[in-house]
Amino acid sequence: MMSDSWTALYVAYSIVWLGLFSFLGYMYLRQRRIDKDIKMLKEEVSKHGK
Amino acid sequence: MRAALIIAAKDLKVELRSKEMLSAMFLFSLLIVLAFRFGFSNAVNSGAVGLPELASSALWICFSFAAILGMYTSFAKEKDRETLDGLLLAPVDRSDLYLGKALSNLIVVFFVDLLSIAFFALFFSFDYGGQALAVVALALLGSVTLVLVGTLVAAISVNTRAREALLPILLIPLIAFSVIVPSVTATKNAMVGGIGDSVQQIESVAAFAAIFAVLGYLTFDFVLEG
Amino acid sequence: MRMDRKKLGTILVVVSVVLILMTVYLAVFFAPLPQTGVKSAGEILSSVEGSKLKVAGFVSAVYSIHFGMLDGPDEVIFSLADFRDYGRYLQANATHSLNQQWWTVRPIDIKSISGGLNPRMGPNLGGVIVVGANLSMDGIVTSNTIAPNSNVTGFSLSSGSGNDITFGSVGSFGLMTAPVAQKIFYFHMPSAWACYLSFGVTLVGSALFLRTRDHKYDRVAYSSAEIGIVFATIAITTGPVWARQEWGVYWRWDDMKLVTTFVLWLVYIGYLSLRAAISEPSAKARVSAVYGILSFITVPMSFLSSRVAPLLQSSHPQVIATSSGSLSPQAGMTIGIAVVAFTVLFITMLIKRVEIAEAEEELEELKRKIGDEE
Repeated sequence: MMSDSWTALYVAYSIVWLGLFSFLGYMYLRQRRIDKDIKMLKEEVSKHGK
Repeated sequence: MRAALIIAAKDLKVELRSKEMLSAMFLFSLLIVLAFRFGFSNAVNSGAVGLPELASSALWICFSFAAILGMYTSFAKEKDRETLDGLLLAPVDRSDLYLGKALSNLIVVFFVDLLSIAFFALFFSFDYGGQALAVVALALLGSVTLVLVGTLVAAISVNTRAREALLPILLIPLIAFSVIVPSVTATKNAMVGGIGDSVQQIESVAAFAAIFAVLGYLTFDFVLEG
Repeated sequence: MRMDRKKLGTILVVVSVVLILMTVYLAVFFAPLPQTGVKSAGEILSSVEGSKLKVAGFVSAVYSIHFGMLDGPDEVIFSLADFRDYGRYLQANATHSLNQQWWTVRPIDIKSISGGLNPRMGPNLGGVIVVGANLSMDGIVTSNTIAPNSNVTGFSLSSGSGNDITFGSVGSFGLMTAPVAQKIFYFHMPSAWACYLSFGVTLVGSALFLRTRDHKYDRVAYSSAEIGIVFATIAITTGPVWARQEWGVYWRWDDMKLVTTFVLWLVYIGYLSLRAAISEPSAKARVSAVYGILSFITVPMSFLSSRVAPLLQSSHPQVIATSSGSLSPQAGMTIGIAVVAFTVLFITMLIKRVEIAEAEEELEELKRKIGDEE
């Protein structure tokens, strides 16, 4: 594994992209879930109010 | 400062009366040295591990875990018996409370250190060769740094769920390079007769003691509030 | 106001993407390969023949020791991982004379052999050979056994005081044995920088929270710590990939830079587990702020560890404020842009992460409200 310098370079760059994009993806999913929850709760509150 | 001494004296008095922490830590250090004795049995008998190397590492592992146990108990006990609230209500500066706690912890931890050093000599038939005093001095110095940071982190962890599990997670990375690594090196040097080789290690441990003391003194107030 | 913030966010995203892509381009196509420092052993040795030699490196594998030749010297064969380069190994064939207190080091060209020697054994060869042990020893250079085409790579020989010659570690001379893998550096070092920066922001946020008790600072502190862990993870995983090429091993437990950075990572993992273990919001913010301040001491420890000698040993290359082995202008420009790119990326991520933290708290607030009504 990683017998030559180029492979090492690809592996390392993949790690960088994987790390960054998985964190960005995690942030995106988290935000989407929270937004959905907030929207749902707000609807519930307004329904309840009536 | 006087308040700190009073708090330390109070802690020690409680401890001497109940002896629960001391007896627990006594057994703990006895067993951890025994665990090393059994675990390294083959290696020691075949001479694959030099005794000074093993002694310095084993002693510091023992000191660290015994200190973690002790410092954790000193806060958990107060929290469980709800005496912590009383302590907080006392007209004492929180920073003095920190120093007092650190001092009482230091005395207990250092006492256990001495026991471990003796146990090690006993179980490994290890001769400190006139360097016992240097080893004890290094144990004291390392323990000072250890309790200064440990008291603060123990107070932090007592606020949490799963507190006994969290203390080592929070503390061990912090003491790894501030206490354990330099102290092990210095202790090993002392055992082979050259404490003079480890001036930098000693300075480093002392510098961290100063840093932790300042940080603890300034922030302890926030940890125990509320 | 809300709209402006959104616009700023979009601009930052675009800028950081452009900068990162630019960094990739520059790192791959623009930055030159580092000097490999290939010199023939003959060339080196003809200039230093008869000089005293100090070799420093670490043992990559144990090979063999030949003892007890009564009429000749004991012989130890080992190889230093620092000398590796694409199968061309400089193998030091150390000869220890029984009655003299010095070593003879004869570099010869052998491909498949590596061996080990405990450096602290001194003249007495009885002892343990440990893979990964640090090695440093003195010797006298003799040229009579040099293979004609053997190359010494990755090392520069610099003449010190008098006749002493030092084989330094790779990084300290700015020479690399694995030039292509060196391009990893353009992402590795900025990640490390971004993680130091994030933890610095955590420190400032924690301190400001304790001062003002404004939860906005607490949100910044823990958001920043989370991002810092991402960058730290990138830095400590790309590092070993490079080290495998350059040093021959993935990780060295005796290298302070590596271990202190690992400890740094652990401390901030501890910070997040601490937060997870406290449920009451104000206690969570207060207590973790103290730990956030305390844990920052590992940052200078990690940052300075390749500089503070000799208490902390490290063969990790130094980039900033090093007297030897400075980068070429193109490489310097690339790393400069990479650092800017990662800084902007960090700011972008931080803003986004703080927004999420705000939304989360809003959600908690809503939940509490509904809970109260029912």
